[in-house]
Amino acid sequence: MQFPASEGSGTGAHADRQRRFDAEALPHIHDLFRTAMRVTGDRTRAEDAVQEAFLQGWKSFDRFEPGTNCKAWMFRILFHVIQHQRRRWFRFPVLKDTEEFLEANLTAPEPVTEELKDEEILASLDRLPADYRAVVLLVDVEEFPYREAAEILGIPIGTVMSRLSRGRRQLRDHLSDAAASFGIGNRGRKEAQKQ
Amino acid sequence: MSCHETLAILDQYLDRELGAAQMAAIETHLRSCDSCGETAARRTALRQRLRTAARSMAATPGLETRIHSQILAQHKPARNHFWLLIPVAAALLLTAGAWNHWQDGGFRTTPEAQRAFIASLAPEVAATMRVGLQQHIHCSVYQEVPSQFPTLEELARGLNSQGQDARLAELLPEMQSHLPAKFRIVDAHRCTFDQRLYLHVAATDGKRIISLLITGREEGEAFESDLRGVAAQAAGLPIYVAGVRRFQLAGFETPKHLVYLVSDLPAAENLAALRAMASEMARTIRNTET
Ligand SMILES: [Zn+2]
Ligand SMILES: [Zn+2]
Repeated sequence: MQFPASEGSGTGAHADRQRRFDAEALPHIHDLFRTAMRVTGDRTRAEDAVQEAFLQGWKSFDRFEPGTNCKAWMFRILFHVIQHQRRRWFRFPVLKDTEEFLEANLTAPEPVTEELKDEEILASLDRLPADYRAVVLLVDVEEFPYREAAEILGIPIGTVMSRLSRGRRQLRDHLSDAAASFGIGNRGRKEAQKQ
Repeated sequence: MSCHETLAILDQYLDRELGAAQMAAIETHLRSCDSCGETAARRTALRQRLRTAARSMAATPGLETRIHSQILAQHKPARNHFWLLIPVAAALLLTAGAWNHWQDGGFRTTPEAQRAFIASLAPEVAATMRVGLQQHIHCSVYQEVPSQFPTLEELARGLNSQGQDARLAELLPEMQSHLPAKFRIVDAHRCTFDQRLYLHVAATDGKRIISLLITGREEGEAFESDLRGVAAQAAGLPIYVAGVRRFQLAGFETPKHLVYLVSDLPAAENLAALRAMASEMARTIRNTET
């Protein structure tokens, strides 16, 4: 979307800054919004978080280095905003990172996705603990490398990897159950595992 | 490379997060192993489905316009970025004089500096009182107050959705009804400091902050063991007090919990506030202990 420049600001540093922000930061609004929506689970809070993130981004845009990844920079601000909201309203369980890195991938089922509906996949995503969900969203949906996901969330890269591994495994688990309930996929395998 | 080794780093392979040698080793294994190849294909398919499904959502129509006009309304870019960090409580104290403000913990804008300030006060109060003091400063003083105040019902719902014992939500009206004039509860959440979990209710009159903090009582923790005497009784329940700088504490205990009221009110007012609410609260908390 193109916006008209504000009155009398067609030239000068301010207008230039505005143009750069419009071109580099604002186009990420949909990425930021869907992530905020899936992390907070609430449209109003997602809108507030995205709006606040853009406002903070605008105020500190001078610190953004041109040529670096503006999407990652905006995501970092967004998660800062969300974590702040989260602290205040405390609706999300906080996970401990004491468990060691999983090898349990070996036994996790691999759902056949052809038969699953988008809504089922998203419902399984929404069931993940918030901290796992955030990492899965950043890496699998937004395609950030581990290192950038770690910077955005302010956590070590090893934590990104362990949350990602556990989040993906839970997702596969949920979806195998969903597939099994329709008589497809891994029922036999899953029952065999439980014995 | 074995199937076991392959599956252990398959996700990193699919994410292209491995070094060249490992990438090549996995590729070789996948070409020759149907089972791992199938696993890789299914995971890739799932990831693509997830990406497509999640990306189908767009921002609420009108949000972009709203953001854009908010930005235009900013007129001038901010000169410095301290606004991100200065806690509201600290900002309000600026008029009282910078030196006093520093003495009271202001201007500490990094977590390290804030922790150092908390640590500097710790030796000035007894160990049981420290438990309440540190979290009041850590959480209430060094955080911004929310811009929109939720209702007690919304706060209770937020706590309940945290797996908090629903009976403890009764503490909110009990506290609100006994707060000094003009104070209202603006926040209720669970928070941690040094691995200790607190139920934290914060109230403000716009200038000062009152924290109610409830935490599990650990082995051997008792106010009477390290405080010299009981300051007051509320229907037979002993209440203990302590103070350091501008922070005043009053506390009581139940068999399983320590309860604190911490504020920058005068000591007598802080004590009176806790005394007014203590016996009701003690009953509510004890109900959850059996
Ligand atoms: Zn294999
Ligand atoms: Zn707190």
